[in-house]
Amino acid sequence: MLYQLNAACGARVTAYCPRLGSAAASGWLRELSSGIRPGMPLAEAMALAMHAEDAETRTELHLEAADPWGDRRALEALADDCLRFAPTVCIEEAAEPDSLLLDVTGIGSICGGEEVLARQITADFCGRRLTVRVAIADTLGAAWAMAHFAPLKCATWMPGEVEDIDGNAAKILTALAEPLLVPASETAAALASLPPAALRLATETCLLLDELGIQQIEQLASLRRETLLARFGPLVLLKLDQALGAATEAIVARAVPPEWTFDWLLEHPTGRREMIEWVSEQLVARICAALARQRRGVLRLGCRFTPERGAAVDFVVGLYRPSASERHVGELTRLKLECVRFREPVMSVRFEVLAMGVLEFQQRDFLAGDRTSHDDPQALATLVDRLSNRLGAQSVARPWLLAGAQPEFASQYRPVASLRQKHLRPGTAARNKQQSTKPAASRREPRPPQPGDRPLWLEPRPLSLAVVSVVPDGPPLMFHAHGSEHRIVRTSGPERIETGWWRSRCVRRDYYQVETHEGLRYWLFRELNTGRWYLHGTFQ
Amino acid sequence: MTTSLLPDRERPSDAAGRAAVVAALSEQLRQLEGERFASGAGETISTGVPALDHLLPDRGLRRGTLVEWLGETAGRVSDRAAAASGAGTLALIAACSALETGGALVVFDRTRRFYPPAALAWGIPLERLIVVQPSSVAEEAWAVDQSLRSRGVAAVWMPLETADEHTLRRWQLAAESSGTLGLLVRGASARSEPSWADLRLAVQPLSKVTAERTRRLRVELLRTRSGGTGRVIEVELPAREVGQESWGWRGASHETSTLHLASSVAPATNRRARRA
Repeated sequence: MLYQLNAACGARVTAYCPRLGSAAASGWLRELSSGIRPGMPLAEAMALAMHAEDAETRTELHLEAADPWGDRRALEALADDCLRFAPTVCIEEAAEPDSLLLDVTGIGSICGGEEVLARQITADFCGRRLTVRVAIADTLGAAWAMAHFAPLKCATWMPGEVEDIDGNAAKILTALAEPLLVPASETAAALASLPPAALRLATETCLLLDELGIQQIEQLASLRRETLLARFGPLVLLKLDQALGAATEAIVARAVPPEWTFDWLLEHPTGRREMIEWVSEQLVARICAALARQRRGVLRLGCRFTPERGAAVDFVVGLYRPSASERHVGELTRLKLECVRFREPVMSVRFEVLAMGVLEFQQRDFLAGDRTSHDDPQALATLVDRLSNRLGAQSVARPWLLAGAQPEFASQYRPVASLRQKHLRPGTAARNKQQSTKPAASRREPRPPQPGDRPLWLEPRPLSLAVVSVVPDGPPLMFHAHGSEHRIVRTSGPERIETGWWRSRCVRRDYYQVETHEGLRYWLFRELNTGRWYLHGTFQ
Repeated sequence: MTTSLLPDRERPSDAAGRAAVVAALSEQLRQLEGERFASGAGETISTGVPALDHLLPDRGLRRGTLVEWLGETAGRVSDRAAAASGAGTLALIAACSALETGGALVVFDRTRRFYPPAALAWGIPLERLIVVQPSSVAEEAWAVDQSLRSRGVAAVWMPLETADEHTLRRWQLAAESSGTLGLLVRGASARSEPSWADLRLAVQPLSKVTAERTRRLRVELLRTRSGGTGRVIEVELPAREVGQESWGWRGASHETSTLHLASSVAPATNRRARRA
């Protein structure tokens, strides 16, 4: 739906470092990020953060792998939540959007003023541990410009007053929380001192304007329109007009997501498990029927059992693949219910579909193909659903090989339920994904060991051993483990592993495969720093 | 009065034919049992070790059954120490063979000690491996039952300390219903316990130096429904690749396997100049 924009509220969601975008030029943002810029090498950013001269400005970096799709989804979730403040909400149209646009025309009078509304939005985001900068102006362009480029102040915006704030991050964040309100008919004055980049212009255009000595929008607006059109094309004029209100700008309202919430209010509170299970089955049947009509299935189902007094009991049923099968979803819900204790009689039950997906239909083979084959992804998905819901998603995992020399860090587990369906199928998808996923610490491809190189059983923590050796720093002759004395008859090694200097301390180990006089085979190592012996693995 | 399952013309006339009678009766018994199996179950698959296949009456492992691998030693050591016998590796090689017809391998690791890179080295594709880490014995019993019952699982591999008869019987029925192969790695103390497993094999490592520098294991057929109990065979685990670490202490030199963090520098002096 297209709406004519009369007033807009640009909400800038900021984090410490990620995606500073064009706003990196702002002094307050440089202050906040210790000089870290987007596109800067990681090592340089870490050096800046760790070796800041001033102890107060020294920043402890929190590093996360970039996830643009995850950022987008998070922003969409925030946009949905902002529907409580305005009927029209949309996400900024950009390659990497970081702003929400709300049409707040006429909303201020309902909330007790636009400033009250802005503070409500700020408080809501603070509750989510997010820092947001709210600007309300006559036009979308002006609100965006103010939210991104207005200097920090401790009070509402005053025309002509520009005050830089020097201080630590806490002060900056406090100042960021102050809403920016541009009074009606003062849009031009508000934007006058802002840089041309505040008009959402391309970087090349901004650089060209900078070379020409145009540092502020006021200078740009004073130039002849014909000159601007001839030199920069129509886009600069359009953006300028849109910001000042001379040209219209439409926003695409974000569609309101349908609510998939099903409630059951009991006439009398009950603690009978059979009754609660029956209600759950009824709700599951309703959900599955409603979703099946749209050829969709449940992926995550939130269940809430509210008692008459006390805290509600919540749990989430997760599915590996979308399902609208009443029997399957009902069984998973029942598995979760078995692990729940109701201390108080339940008064109401609410089931909410938190995530859904399109149902996958597969035609059955009429000739029944290979009857001995176990390649049945649907049966496997059902098993994963059951195990994950009963034992916990973390307890049903798939190993992933990493390029770590230290045995403890040579692999990791990921919950199977969090992987997509195609990864469960034996094929190339999972293999390709596995090869493309690299740990941040190393860019080497994981190299699978040779048969017999690594033990099938690895102790979570190496067991300290009392070892008898003849040669100093030589292989052991005897050791005591698992309640038995083991006399070593053969030794293979050492295999030296020196790694992990980027973690807390460097690991320096000499590994030996030893075979006892009874033929048992173990994996021992000598810690080179301390000279102590450890049992690390068992060749089962 | 005794009755015979064989027609009169097929009755053996001498003692030499008794073996044939026993074999025929075993085959009939197997056919009767086979009706209980689901489609695909009862099919024979290789253990992954040809010598071991020859030891087994069916020349392999039958799908839809439980197979127990008992790790033992010549001396008296605890079950935990005997875990280093190689029984788990033999079972894992059999699991790798079971994966050839599709499906996934489910490994149960309650003690959080399973090391996936070693499984990968023995040929288990990680994208078809699911590791389940239950927190209790009861959870593990339930999860094993569910896994054995699934048509999408080719094999279940698990170290098993102890299990009651009812649980094992439930697992056996679950495996029969889906055709999943259950591989249970147990200690020597399980030898005296009753079992519902189709096969029970004792694996004992041999401390022998072999030319090929491989690991030799002595496998004894303890229990089977098809006869041949007590047969013993020695098998070798697959040899490591040439050029890998060899056996034997090499003295104080670490040169054979030292990981050079930086490439070595060329000699400073020129040979020609030195000759001159």
